[in-house]
Amino acid sequence: MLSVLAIGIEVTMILTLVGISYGTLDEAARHARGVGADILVRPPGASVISLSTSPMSQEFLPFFMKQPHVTFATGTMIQPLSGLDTLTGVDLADFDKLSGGFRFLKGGPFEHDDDLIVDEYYAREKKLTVGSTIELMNRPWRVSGIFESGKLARVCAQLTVLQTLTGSPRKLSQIYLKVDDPNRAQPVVEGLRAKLPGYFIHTMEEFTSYLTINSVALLRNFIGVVIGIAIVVGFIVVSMAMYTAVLERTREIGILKALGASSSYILDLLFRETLVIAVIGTGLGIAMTYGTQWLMMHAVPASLTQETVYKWWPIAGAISITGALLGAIFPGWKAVKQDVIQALSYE
Amino acid sequence: MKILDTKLNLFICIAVVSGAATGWAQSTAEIFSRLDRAAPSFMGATATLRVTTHTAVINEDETQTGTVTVKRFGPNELHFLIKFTGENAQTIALKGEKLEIYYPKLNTIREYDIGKYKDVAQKLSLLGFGTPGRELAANYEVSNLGGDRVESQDSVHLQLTPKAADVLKQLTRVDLWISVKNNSPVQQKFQLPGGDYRLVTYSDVSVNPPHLPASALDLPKNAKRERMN
Repeated sequence: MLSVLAIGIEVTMILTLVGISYGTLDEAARHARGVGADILVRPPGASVISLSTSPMSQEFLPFFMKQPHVTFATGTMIQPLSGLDTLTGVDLADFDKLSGGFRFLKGGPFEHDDDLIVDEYYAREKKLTVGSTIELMNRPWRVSGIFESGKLARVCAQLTVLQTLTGSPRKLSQIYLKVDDPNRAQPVVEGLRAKLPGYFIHTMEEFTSYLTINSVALLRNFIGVVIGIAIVVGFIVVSMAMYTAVLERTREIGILKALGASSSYILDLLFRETLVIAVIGTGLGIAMTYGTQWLMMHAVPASLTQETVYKWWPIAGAISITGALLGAIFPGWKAVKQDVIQALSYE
Repeated sequence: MKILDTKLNLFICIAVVSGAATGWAQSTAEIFSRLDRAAPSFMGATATLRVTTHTAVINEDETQTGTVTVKRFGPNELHFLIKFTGENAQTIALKGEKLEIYYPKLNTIREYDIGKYKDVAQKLSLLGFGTPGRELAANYEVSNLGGDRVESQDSVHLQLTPKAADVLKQLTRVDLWISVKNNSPVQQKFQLPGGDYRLVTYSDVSVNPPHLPASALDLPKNAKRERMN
């Protein structure tokens, strides 16, 4: 029973972390698509020469507006908060033109410099309502509105306020472009790349397609480490459980051998038992994954988004079964090597 | 033809006269030798600085002004603190592998571990501060463009092209003006791909000031600290 539970936890661990990785990336893609832009422009990577993350000047906006087929350009500033959270500086009037604006569930747009707007999940996680105060970036902010999730970001402040606070007036982290015909986005991107070498310029479709586990090296490595740990945990748990089982059944094994059971017959018995434990454990693990998903949705809906990734079910199952079977090798060998006389006299 | 000869003679005269006037013009070997001699005794410096960042595609120049303090903590260990004032107020401190940025309006310090980029950040940002000539020769193809006068200071103008391919991708050329008086940089121009550049001009440079405690590079103690990576 304990072995089944341990394997279940192992499978839950794998599926939960894979689900969070997929969920986080899909959530980012959903927010990006929600902006309503056709093209995303980001500055070249962090530069050791400027000792900055090379934010772009707001003067790029009129430059982009003059480009063929570009009908609108606006930018945002992104500031990191704790964990994976960010605070996005946005010009609401421009954002309205780009995407149709936020749909407020409670309250409304910014009224004062220290106002924030947050999405429903962030509000639920942090227990915020309109008029609540929250401390971010070492200063208090008042929540002026709660909007429907899925557009741009979870937490937004006024662009100019964020620029001033960070000593980066007229600076932007990224720029969104709208073109007259979405089918023309790719040629516009290619034209801009020629004019702005080194800049990250992609259609939104391209950008969201990059948000996969394989394209984010950190996540890929993270999942690799988790799988490695899971295999080791499965191996140790099953190894100990089966070793104990072999010790407990020393007499039974001795009787079987005395009755003429071959080594392969005893190994087959042990491995079949291990397989049953691993399969039941995998099923339990998959079931428990729905529990962690529910927990995340209710405890930290804004910070962690967990998806059910069905294609990982057989992978997680194979990992747990492999770990379990590997763990059964030594106890199996021990059982096969037992002396019949000693086994029969074992108390 | 005669007009051409006259112009050529005039040019030669100007060149000779300017060479005579700029008595600080030296051969590259002499400059390197001078920098090699000065480097070991470099312990620190303070200066005011003006940084102009030019973005070619939009033809925009952004200027930041402030002060810089440099202090040597070991043979290859230079720490610095750059304090920008005005609307771009920020303080940047590089201490070994740790880059700290202080935002005064947030009273917050963000800490970045720059790890393997430490040497590049230190050597590029502080290019000319206690830099031996042999180090310049090792890392750059150097052209000596002769004597020049920048910010009312007599200097030699060196044009440096990085030898390392990975640096060359980010930095196509550096123009460095070294003061004849105290062997410190008067101006650095970092030429980036695509025509962008970053021009850093130093004035009121004090090399090895008598009182430069380690605390001169400290950021406010009461600020909130955030680790960014």
